[in-house]
Parts: sequence; structure tokens; C-alpha cells
Amino acid sequence: MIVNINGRDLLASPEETLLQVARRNGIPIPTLCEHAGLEPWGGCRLCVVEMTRGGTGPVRVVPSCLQPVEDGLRVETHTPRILRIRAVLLDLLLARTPDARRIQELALEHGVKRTSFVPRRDPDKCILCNICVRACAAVGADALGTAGRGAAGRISLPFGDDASACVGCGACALSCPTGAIEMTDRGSERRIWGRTFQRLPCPSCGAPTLTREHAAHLAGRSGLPAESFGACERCRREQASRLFLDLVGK
Amino acid sequence: MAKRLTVTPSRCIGCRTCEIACAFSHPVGAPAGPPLPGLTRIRAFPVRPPERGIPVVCLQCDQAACAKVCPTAALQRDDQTGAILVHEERCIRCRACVWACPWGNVGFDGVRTQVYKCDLCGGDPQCARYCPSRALEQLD
Repeated sequence: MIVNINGRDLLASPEETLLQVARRNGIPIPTLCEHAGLEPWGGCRLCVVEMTRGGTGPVRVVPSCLQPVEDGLRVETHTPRILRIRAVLLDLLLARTPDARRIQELALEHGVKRTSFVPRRDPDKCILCNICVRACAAVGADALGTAGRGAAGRISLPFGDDASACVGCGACALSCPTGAIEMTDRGSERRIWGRTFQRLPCPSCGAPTLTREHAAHLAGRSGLPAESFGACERCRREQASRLFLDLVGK
Repeated sequence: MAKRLTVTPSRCIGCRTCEIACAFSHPVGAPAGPPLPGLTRIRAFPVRPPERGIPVVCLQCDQAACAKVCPTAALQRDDQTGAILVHEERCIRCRACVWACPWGNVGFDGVRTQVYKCDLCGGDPQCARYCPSRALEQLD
């Protein structure tokens, strides 16, 4: 099917979203919550575009990450109205997270040098993109969610402090685009979400590997014993080399 | 049928040229200045005496544990080369693949915060190209 974006007729397949078609054709649309490995969420609203069905219908503003393509759609990605919407969103985010570089850069691109709202008194770097929440769900731990509304919106553990579902894998912290989630590894200890985990020692060299809870979680999902996940990759390779040496003969 | 990276450990002399070739074939961007060699995806473990080595590199398993355990399908086989590639934009850095690979052939780069593994250099593995003793070969 054909969709028209910014005056260009573009070939699209039915399972694609408008954002995917635009990206594939080098049309830049800013996003914060989009992640290629996770389900689209439509939370940041920066990817909004103007869309008309069949050229005569009403002009609608839709998030392009959630909008499936339809034959004959006419789409504009950078109209004054769209740019104004994005600028307001970034203005709000700048009041929330003045220190997040990604927000500073995007805001500047949209002509927002300083927030026109009241800045938050105790700002953190969280931009509420929900990538951590969705990553945690993809891992299968489902330990995170969102809480609060408006300026009080935040990423949170259940009931604010229940980290019992967390396996300490660190996917949330490492996939956070602004580094808002703190994770510290000290020796065999890992601290994240207010909880202290013990990282299992590699059976060969003793170096800390993954957390006990993460190993048990992977074992549960794969059906393999938890010991299958405990060795560090260096020792695993060395074991492989010894296995090959036995095979080819000394 | 794609070409295959073939390892013949009995020919390995343990010189570790493959590791250097690999590191230089996977450069990482430095903040300022030219790109730097990346982390090696292949290891040649020296065995002596006599001077020999055992190269250990990703086997691109048919039933790959790394790909199976990945929750976001970030590890996918490239039909052209047969290599299982890391699609970094899909990766959520849970590192399940690192712990799942029975051979230790998936690593985690703490600086780039990204998993890495052998990608067969897009079909022309440089380790095989520079191996002086044909322990690593790209065969039909």
C-alpha cells in the first residue's frame, strides 16, 4: 500500500506503523519512549503527526508509533501545529528533568531554551519513557510500573517499595536512556531499587557473575538448572577450549 | 549454502593473531580522535608445550541458546552469512544471552553497555583471513 508522508508517496506494508515507514525513508520524527525491541507504548507523544484519510477527511493528530498504515493516508510530520505540540511537551519535560541531556537537546531543537513552567524542586533524570517498565516486563520479572499523575507521575515499585519481584538483572538501569536508575555493583553486592542482591561467584575463578535471583529466574524460564548460568564467560570459554583439546587430542 | 568459518584446532599455533584481527575489525568510536579497536570476539587459548592453541569462537549454533533466551528477539540469524547478529536497537541489556551461551561466546561491553558476539564480519571473517596457519578458514 501507499502512504503519503510530507508529500512523498511511500510504499508500506500493512503490519508497519507510520513511524516505521517514516524512519525507513529517512524522515526524522523525535521519540522518547520508542524502543525497537519493545512494544510501542505511545506515552511520550513526541512522535505525533497530522494525518488525513483519503485527502478529504478531518485532520487528526495521532502518535505515529501506534498508528498502523492505511492505503491513501496523507501525513505531515512537521507542520507548525505539530511543532508547537512537541515544543509544549518538551517544555513540560524540561520543567521535570532539567538535567537530562536528551531532553535539553530535543528542547533546544524545538526552540525551548528554558522551561516556561515551574521547574520541579527535586528533579531527577526520569523522562517517564517507560522503557524500564517494558524491559522489566519483557525480562519476565514485571517488577516495575508507573504511579501518580501529572507532575507527580513516576516509575515505581508496587506500593512504592516492594522490590520482591525484582531479580536484579539490571536491564532497567542499563536500558534507561537518561541514566535515571541507580545500580551499583560493589564486589559481589549489587544494589538496585533499594534492595541488595548477592551476585553468584563463578565456580572456576570466583568473579561475581549474575545475581542468584536472576539465575533462578533464567532457570525457571528455560527449564535448565540454575547452575547452567553461573560461570563467567571467560571461564566458560576456557572450559570450551579444554573440551576441544580433549576432542582433538593433546 | 553459505560459507562456513571452520576451526581446525590441531593447526593452531597459539599466536592470537585472530584476536587482534577481530579487535581491529570491530572498532569503537572514541569520544575524540580516530576509532579504537573493539573487544575481541575470538579467543585463542595457548596450550604448551609444544606451542599450540585452541581457538574458541561463536559456533553460530543451529539451536542457539543466546537467541532462544533473548526476550526481545535482538539476536537473529542473518540468512546471508548464517551468523547470529546482535540487533543493538532491540537489546534491553538484560544479558540473559551472556549467561546462557554454554561456550562463553557472548560478552558484555561495560563501556558501551552493549552485548557483543562474533558477527562473521559480514561474511568475510578477518580472523580467518589473517590466521597464518589455516586453523581458521572460511570454507564453502
